[in-house]
Amino acid sequence: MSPSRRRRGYADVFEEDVRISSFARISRNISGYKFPGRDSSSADAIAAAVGEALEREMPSAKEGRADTACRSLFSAPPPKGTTVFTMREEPVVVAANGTDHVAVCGIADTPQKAYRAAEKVEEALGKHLSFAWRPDIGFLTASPSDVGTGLKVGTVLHLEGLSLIGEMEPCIRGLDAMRMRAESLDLAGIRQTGHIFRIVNAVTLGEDEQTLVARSARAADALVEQETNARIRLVEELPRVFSDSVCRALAILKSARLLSAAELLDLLSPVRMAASMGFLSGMTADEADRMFMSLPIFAPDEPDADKRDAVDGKRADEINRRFARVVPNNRFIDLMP
Amino acid sequence: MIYYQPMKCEICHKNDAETVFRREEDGKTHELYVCRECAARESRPRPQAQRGARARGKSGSRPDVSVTISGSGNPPPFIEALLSATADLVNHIAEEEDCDLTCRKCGTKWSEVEEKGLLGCPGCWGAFAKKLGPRLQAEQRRVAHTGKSPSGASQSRKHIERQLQDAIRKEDYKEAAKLRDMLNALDAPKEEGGK
Ligand SMILES: [Zn+2]
Ligand SMILES: [Zn+2]
Repeated sequence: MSPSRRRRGYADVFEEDVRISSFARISRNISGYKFPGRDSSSADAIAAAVGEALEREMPSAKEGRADTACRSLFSAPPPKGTTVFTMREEPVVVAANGTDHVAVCGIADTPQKAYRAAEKVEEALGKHLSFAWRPDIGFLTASPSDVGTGLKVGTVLHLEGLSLIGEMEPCIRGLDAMRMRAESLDLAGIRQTGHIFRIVNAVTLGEDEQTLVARSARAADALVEQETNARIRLVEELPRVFSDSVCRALAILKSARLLSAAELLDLLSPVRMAASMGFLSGMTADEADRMFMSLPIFAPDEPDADKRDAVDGKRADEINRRFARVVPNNRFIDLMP
Repeated sequence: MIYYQPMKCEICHKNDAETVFRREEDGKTHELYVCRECAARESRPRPQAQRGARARGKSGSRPDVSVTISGSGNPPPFIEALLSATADLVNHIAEEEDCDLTCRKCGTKWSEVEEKGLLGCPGCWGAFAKKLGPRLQAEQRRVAHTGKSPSGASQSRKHIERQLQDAIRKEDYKEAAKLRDMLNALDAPKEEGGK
C-alpha cells in the first residue's frame, strides 16, 4: 500500500470500489461450421452440441439468461439467437452462437481467477468439441481482433476520479503502450457513459495466455492506483471541483423532470464515487452500486422519440423519489472550501 | 505473396519455410513452402527413386507443366507429388488480386468482411490470408501463435506427422501426399497441450 493511501481512512476503501469485477472471455469455433453471423441454420445443432458437452463435464450447467454481470462480458449485447449456459461449479457463463460458436466467460475478482475458471470449462468443452485451429495463427475466430488465443481478459473499473481531473487521456496512452485498451462499458447499448471502463488486452495473437493474463492484471493494478491517487488529489487539492461534481449531480437527480438512461449513468457516476468514499447520507456504497449496475438494464433508452419523453419522465420521477433524502454528510461539508 | 508469418515448412512442419517451390499449371501458380533442410534433402539426386515416383505419379496426364524451383529447374519428385496433391488447397489462397476475393467454403466475399469486420468460416482465414496478413501484422503482437492448442486433437496430428516422416524416409510419395492432405485438413495443432 502506498503511503498516500494510508494517510486517510477513506482511501482504504477506494481499491475495492474502483475495481468492479474481472473477466476472461475465451472465443472458440467448431471446425466444419460457418460462423454464426454467416449462417444461423446450424445454430441449433451447435447449441445442442455445446449443451451436451457441458452436461457431461459440468452437471449443473443449464440454459438460462445472462445476468447483469455477464452482460459486461460482451462488448455489445449478445446477438439474437445466442444461447447462454450457466453452471454452479464455476463462475462461468458459456454463450453459444454469439459472434463465435462458443464464448466461455469467467467472472471473478481478479483476471487470474477469471481466466482459470474459464480455462477449466474451455478445456472440458474441448474434450467433446473440435475447435478450429491452425498452428500459425491459433484459434480461428470470426473477428480478426480475437484470433490466436481467442482470449480477452480484463477488469471493469470505475474511473470517475481520473475522468474528473482530466487524466484519462494519458492513462489510455499508457495502456496503448502496454497493448491494453480501455473500452467504455456498453450497458444496454449506452456507450461512453458512467466512466466505467473495461481494461482489456488489445492483442490476442503472438502472446500466450499467461502473458496476457499477467499483463491485464498489472494494467488494472496500475489504474486502480492512479484512480486512488486521483481521488485523493480531488479531495485534498481540488475540493471545489470534487464537491461541485457531486452536488451538481445530486441536484439534478433530485429535480430533473426528464432523464435519459445515458444521462442518468453520467450522474450516478460521481454519486457512486462519493458514496463509496463515505461522503453521503441516505445512500450507501452498496446501494449506489446496485443502482448503477441494474438501472440501465431495466430502463434502456427508448428509440421511439414520441414515447421517449414518457419513459424519461417516468425514470426521472423514480429517481427524484429515490434521491429525495440523499444529502452530503458532515464529513463532506467539512471538506468543502 | 504475403502469408501469415513466419510460415512453417510444409514438409517437416518444424522449421521456418525459407524456400518456395512454384509450379505454373493452367495459368495458376501452385506453391509449396519448405525449409532449407527439407529443400536440400528433397533436391538431392536419387536416380532410382526419381524414376519410380514418376512412374507411380500422374505425370503422364499433364506433360506440359512448366516448373520453377526457387527460380529454375525441376522440382524433386516428392515436392511434385505434394504440389499436385495440394493444388486445390493452394488455389484456395492464390486467387487473383483484382476481383473481389471469395471464400470457397462459405461464399463470403472480402468486401463483406471489410464491411462487417467479421469472417464467414474458419476457411476464410486461408482464403483471405493475403488481406488479413498485413492487418494482423499491424494490429497484433506477432503473426505467429503462441499459447494453447486444442487438447484432444494434438495427439492425432503428431501421429500423422510421424507417419509422414516415415513415408518420406521410405520414399513413398503417394502416401506422403495423402498424409500431407490429412494434415492440411486437420484444424489441429502440432504441439501437445501447449501450456
Ligand atoms: Zn522442413
Ligand atoms: Zn469462409
